[in-house]
Amino acid sequence: MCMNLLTPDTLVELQSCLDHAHDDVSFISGGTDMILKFRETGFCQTTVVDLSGVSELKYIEEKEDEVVIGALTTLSTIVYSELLKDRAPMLCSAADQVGSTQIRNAATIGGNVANAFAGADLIPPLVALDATIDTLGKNGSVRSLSIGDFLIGNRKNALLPGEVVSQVRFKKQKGVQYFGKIGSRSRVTISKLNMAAFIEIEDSLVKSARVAFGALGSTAFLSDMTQAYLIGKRADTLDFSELSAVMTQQVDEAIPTRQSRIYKRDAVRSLAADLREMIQKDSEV
Amino acid sequence: MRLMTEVNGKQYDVDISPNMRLIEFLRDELGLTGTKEGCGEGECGACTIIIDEVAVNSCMMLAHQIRDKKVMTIEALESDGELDQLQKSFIAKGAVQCGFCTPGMLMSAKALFMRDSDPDDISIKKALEGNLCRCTGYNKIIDAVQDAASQIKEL
Repeated sequence: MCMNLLTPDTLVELQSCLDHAHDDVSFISGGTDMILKFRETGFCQTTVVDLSGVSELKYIEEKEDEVVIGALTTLSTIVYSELLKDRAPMLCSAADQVGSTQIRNAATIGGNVANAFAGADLIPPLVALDATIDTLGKNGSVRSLSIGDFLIGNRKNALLPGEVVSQVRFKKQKGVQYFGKIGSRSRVTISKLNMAAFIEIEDSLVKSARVAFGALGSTAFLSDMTQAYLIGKRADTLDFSELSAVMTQQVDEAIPTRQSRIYKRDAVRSLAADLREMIQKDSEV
Repeated sequence: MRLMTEVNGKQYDVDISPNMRLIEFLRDELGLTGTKEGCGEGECGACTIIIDEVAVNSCMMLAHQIRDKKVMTIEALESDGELDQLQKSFIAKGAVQCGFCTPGMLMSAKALFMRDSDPDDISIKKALEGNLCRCTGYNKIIDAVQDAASQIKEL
């Protein structure tokens, strides 16, 4: 037998697994990324903790000024959550565009974040929402990291050995939210480029903008130049060619030597068009 | 490692390897070979089964992840020699060609019916988006699911 599988069904049992975990422990929940990883080693991981039974980590709640999502919440639950449709529609939209129905029924927000894939779809919305990632480690230790500090590279996160994501949270905020992705087909596709934007409009002017790109380098990031361009602009007369020129420039700057730059600098124009339409539509209301 | 679970209404208490995938458990241990493995990486949906009323890919889970859960495979669609309406509609509408994708298609459609008894075209396509048909008989498959939905409605 070449896998030691632990199956905690409560937080208390999970804590005990974490307390006794060696540094090479790995974790599985939905399995949609991890099974592929296990396959590379012929399913010979030394210790695997199956988190999927810990139902205490499945929740979507409002707490004071924050929205809090348990790490084991599936993407399907996020798609259909009335609370999130109201508070974080771009997160629902991103979750809805991940994989297929079967994948979304299994995959979790904690897994999507911890896997830290450069093209992960939930990550740009969480960056745009300035989310915090809470972790659980040995002996009940908890840490809170900003999403920016949590992501340290493609498939690299800031988790310590034997540490897991316990929840994701972000401040309740009012504004226009947009998520868009470009892949090789319209559904069941891995993002070649994705983007999330959180825009506040006041008196028809863009008051603040947080625009995050994914699949454009090793980790999702906020585009300073796109944000700087948007702030102060009139929402109802946003100029498409200017906006798309700024976003194209951002692609050039982020991946100057990649072959995919040619494709992505074109692709980003359609995200620019969608974003502009979204901002304009909001200003008409 | 001990696993207690329920598959197609039957209780199981078995001792299986911790690194066995769910599809291997269903096919090799329980002999439920209706569930197929196509791509093995979540693209094709041939391995689709229903766990606690939602469709998932059985090739992307460990068998032990179904502990204390209720699993339904294609073998449970028919009961007492009577086919499920979905199966009848697939036959009537010519939605089965080589047949390899059919169990997965049926289970995805069955899971859809469990949460939406009167789905529109977009819901049907979305429910089946994770199921590939290498014979490309998609139109007839979608016709069959629509037909099943309307037959059930008439009952």
